Amino acid sequence: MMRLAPGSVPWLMRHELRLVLRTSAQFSWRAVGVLGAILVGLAAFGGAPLAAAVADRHLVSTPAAALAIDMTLAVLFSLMLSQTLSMTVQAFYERGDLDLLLSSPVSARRVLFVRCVGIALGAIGLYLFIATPLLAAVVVRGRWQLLAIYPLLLSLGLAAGGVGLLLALVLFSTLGPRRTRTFGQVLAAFTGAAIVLGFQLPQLLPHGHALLGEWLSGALRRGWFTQGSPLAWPLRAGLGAPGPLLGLALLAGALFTGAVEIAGTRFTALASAAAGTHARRVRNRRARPFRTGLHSVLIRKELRLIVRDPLLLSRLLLPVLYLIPAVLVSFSRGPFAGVAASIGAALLTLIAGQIAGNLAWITISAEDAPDLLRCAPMTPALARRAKLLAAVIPLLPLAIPIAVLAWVHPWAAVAATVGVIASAFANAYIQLWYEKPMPRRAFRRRPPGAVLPSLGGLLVALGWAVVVAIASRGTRIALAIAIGVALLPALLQLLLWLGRNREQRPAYRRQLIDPPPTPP
Amino acid sequence: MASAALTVEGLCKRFSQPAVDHLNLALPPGELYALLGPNGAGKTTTLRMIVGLLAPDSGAIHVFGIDALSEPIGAKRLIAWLPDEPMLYDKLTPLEYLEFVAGLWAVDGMTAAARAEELLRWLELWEQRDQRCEEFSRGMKQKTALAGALIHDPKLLILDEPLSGLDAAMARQVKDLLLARTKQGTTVILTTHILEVAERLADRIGIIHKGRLLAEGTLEELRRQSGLAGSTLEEVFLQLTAPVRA
Repeated sequence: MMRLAPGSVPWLMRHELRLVLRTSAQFSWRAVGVLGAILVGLAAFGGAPLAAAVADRHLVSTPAAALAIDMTLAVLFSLMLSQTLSMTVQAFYERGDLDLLLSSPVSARRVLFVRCVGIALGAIGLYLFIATPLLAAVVVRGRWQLLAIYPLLLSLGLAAGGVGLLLALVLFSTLGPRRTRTFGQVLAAFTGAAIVLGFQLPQLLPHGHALLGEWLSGALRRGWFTQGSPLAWPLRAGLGAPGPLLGLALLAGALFTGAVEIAGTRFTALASAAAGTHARRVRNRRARPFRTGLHSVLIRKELRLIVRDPLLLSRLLLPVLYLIPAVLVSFSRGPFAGVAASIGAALLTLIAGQIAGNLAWITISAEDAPDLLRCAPMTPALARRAKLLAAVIPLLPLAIPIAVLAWVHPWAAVAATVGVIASAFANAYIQLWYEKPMPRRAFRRRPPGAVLPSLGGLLVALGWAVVVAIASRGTRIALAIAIGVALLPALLQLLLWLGRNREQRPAYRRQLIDPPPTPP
Repeated sequence: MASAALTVEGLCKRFSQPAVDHLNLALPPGELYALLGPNGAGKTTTLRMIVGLLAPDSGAIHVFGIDALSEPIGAKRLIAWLPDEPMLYDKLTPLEYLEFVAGLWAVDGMTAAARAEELLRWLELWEQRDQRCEEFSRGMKQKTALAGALIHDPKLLILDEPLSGLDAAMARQVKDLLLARTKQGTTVILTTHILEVAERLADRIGIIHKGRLLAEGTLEELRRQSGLAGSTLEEVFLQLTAPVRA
């Protein structure tokens, strides 16, 4: 093995890489097989048609293509920025080996540089994985100049890393280390969603689509995206033009190193400030009698824990954010009001299912003190009932859009009410069957969850959404479909049962009655 | 049997090998019993079975005459369990945690609030009552969990390494509290690796190894059984477990 100078950048990078490899999922032939199948699938169904499409074409930059590529890169950048901001904030707080590195004679700036390079590379990893089989097929057909997409992606990742670091610094300076921890993660989650929501804005504005179309055609007419324009650089860089590629790489490199340079001077101070951020300003309340009632204390505890983990909450509720603009559109009046109301009612049902499923997954599986609940004088069924209710109670605000819907289209509101309740409880129950108790902090970084309950929950929520959409149009067939959808959770439970081998089945039956004991 | 606070008869639990092997215990009310043994002797497994966290393969457990296996909820009402790893919620404050635990054991709201204040003041956590537990040191978390164990005024207190993480002054305070509680009639069964604690506190000591009770009695009785008159508990412990360890 090559001997690297201790404390040098490559040496630190090797250290980081080793940690990443050892903390990531363990090697398994099954995982390799799945990844290989995905790569082959992407090459066959994405790469091959793409290669055929570009094989005989002269690839040149056109204004429309430049605009499309700019918009695609903007979406990618927002998603990467979301990841780099989240990881940068996390890097300050999750101590790991940071204390060791900062107490060593290695310069803090170098430590930060290596960590940020790791973050930037981590942000582009998924895109490199997707791009590789597509590009491989294209390169085989002789379009080797498209390999320039790799440095283009790397530049985008470095730029996202630099901006993420600068944003984290701004948050530290303005909000202080304690608030940055939470706000940084929430901001990161919403950064990823912002551009998608931005694209939905024309739907919400009166004549939004027409205005957008006018503006875009005006921009194209004015030559903003012609070959000489800097706005056409991303497309030209992707097509292998050395000038724009070098220009963008230099720009991203300068942004990244500049950010590291600025942050490097304060890195040690920020990291040590972040280490003591648990201390909150506390206002001691006056003593009052305790509230009692088993159900009530259990539900209150779950709700408190949900509300006090904004990061977890924002991640769980983020998918819902994407659907809100579409729901708002459904309240419109006009010739298509009936169709819009049906779609709105269906979306509310889908949202309710997703929120309840996600929250139930947390309330049921994320339990920091399972032994405390098990040694309390109550039946496990009571605790589970309370946890289910705690997952469904936060859906109460959905009554507001349903009330608005009732004003526009009463029958759709009735269908939405039934759908929301059915979808929410079905999803919560699915999570109960797939219960996997583990500490709450395990849900923060890489949410562990079985694929079957997630997909099953989504399927059930979609099923109820379809039922509601049809029912709100007054079609009787909705009843027949509703019976089918109501049976879906039972089918999932049967699949769960069959998925366990014969020896595990009696143990599983016991588990339904009483949770499995933790080994000593 | 009705007079005993805790009786354990022929208790067995096997994982890959026997963890608890035909164990018998009988504790009268108000006794402080220390269960000692080397690592992996079966101490924690025994306690977890008594608390109802682990189902025994065979045997019987009675808590103040209540069959803990057939009537677990009735038995759990009388028991408090304090494991070596505190059972806490990081995002709750000590006061909220105590309110939650008191609610689980259905303690009256007024009584629970007064008791919580008393416990938190005694454990020197009153000033931090509205601070989240995630901000606490290991010792403070252990103290909060101890307050949780005492909030419902249990008749049987089961403690697994209760002094781990506590500073010397607090450890002394906890020892005094345990003695005071036993004087008031609470039965305490605890495990510890600090033999001096067992020597000073326990009315009786049980030494187990590989799930079997090797010896049981007062310190004097153990000295006699080991043939080491006038020796410390450490010497007695090593003497009694030596043949098995070999």
